[in-house]
Amino acid sequence: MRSVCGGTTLTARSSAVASVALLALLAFLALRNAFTYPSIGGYDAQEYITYARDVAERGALPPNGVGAYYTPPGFMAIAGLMGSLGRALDMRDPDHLGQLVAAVSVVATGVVVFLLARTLWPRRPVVWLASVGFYSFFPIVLKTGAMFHPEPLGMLVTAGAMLVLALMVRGEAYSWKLASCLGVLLGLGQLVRAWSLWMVAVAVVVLATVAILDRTVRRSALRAAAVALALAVIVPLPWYVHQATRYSNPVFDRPQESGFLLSRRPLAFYVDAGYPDIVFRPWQGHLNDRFIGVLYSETWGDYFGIWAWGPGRGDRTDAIDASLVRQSVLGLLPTALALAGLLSLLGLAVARPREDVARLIVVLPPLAALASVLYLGVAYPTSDGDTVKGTYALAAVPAFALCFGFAFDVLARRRFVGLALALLLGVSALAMLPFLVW
Amino acid sequence: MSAVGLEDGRRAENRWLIGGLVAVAIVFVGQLAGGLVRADEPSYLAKVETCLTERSTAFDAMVGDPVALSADRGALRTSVGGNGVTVALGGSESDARRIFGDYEAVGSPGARLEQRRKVVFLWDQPPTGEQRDFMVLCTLDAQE
Repeated sequence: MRSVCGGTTLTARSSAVASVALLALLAFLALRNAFTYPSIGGYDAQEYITYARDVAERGALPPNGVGAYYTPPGFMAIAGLMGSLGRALDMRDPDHLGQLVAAVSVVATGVVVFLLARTLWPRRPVVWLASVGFYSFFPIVLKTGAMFHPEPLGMLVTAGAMLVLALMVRGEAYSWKLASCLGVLLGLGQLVRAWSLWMVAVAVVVLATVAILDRTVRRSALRAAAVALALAVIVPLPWYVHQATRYSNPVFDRPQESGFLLSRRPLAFYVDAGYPDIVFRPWQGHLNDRFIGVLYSETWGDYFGIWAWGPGRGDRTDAIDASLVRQSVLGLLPTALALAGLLSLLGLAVARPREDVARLIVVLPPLAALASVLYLGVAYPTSDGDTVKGTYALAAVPAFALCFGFAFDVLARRRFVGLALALLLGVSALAMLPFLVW
Repeated sequence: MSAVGLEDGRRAENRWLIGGLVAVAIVFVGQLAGGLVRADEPSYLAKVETCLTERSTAFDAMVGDPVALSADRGALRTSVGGNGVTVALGGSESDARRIFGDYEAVGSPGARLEQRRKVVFLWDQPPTGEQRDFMVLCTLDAQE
């Protein structure tokens, strides 16, 4: 099997080998960062560490309304046990083993991205390699993977659910076994991070679309959807019951401002990316009340000062500012390609629905994740943009990487475009490397 | 899928991707244009002057100090709690270091001379914590 890229052919074997090499680099960086990045350096890390320790050592969830009480205990239990292991081994900072859980999740998700690309586009090795490349060098992935944070594990479970869904649709195999597997993963995802609720909706929409468009598998697809949905409800039910009996909302009970949801933010919040600050001053203090600007700057750089500057690194300097500006510039091309890929796949999914229902598996997660981050930013407005973070959309990164891979593959059919893009993105990735190492 | 169907699918993908790229380009250009036509940002010196004005603190244009006048982003004189201070706004940290070094070379300012990233303060007397905090706050934008 061969694909054309930049006038050269890329065989399935060479794509797989190059993808493994990229994943090996990702693994090296992720594992290294897990042990060099301070365990209390990430978002809400102290709350998570306390939570994890209490769960692992006392079997206790956070007291009413304290700390990260609204976060499900899946990651905390595993990271807490790892922390206990670290203490038994007399490690200087045992919580690094909790960070290791996040790092391993990031690497494992990279493998799932490759498998997803191969399952969805089995004859297009360029998509496989481009998707893995985008994922491996997407800064939000390695940044969050270094933290004591549940999001990477949530991403892994969600990506696993996407893979099972892709196997079902591609193989037209809506068996009990796969449906059960999908349902359990959807349920487990909610036990790690509440955001993954959107993946339940994605799975139901995809299976319902299959049932509508393909009469031959209608019954089995609907049965699979019912099984998956039932398990997605049953598996996390004890957690939701626990929360519902203590709080006004089992998912997130923080009080909201009154008033129409969309009017809680000015129009500029939704439509103005904040140029030139988004490129030339992508750090806190600028881009206030700019959804796109904060989301982009936090995703490609370090808007909030938890990675390249801030408590773990010290105040910003000209050199740090320059590296943040460089990150913003380097992120423009891959973001544009991934967005174009997303839009084109969405267009194809709507205009030619019978051709390939599996496109929805790639298109829906980024849209759903974006909507959930936007909802959080609007429902719980803060002046410093604290509720607008790319981290909250991490679970959609594998799908976003596939959008990039698809766009790259289509463009790479033209000899010079493919060659130029490959060179440009390769150099960009190399230029980004120092930022990705903590 | 037949060869014809495959070719049709590829053409559709090309068309939709070009459409996607055009849409993204329109958004990018729109954001760029929006940023360019947005009212010009005041200069760093103007921001410091605004801060001082809002806090009822008089200031003067810089005259007669070639070191301060050489600062890339300008300089001014003001007085905080009776303590006069020259504020020189460097264009970069290295520009500020140069200004700092020039002041050190022409006198012995000691604790009267301070640098905060791109901003250099030369006080008439060693500042109190309150005086220092006031000027640091009013030059936050210029420090970066």
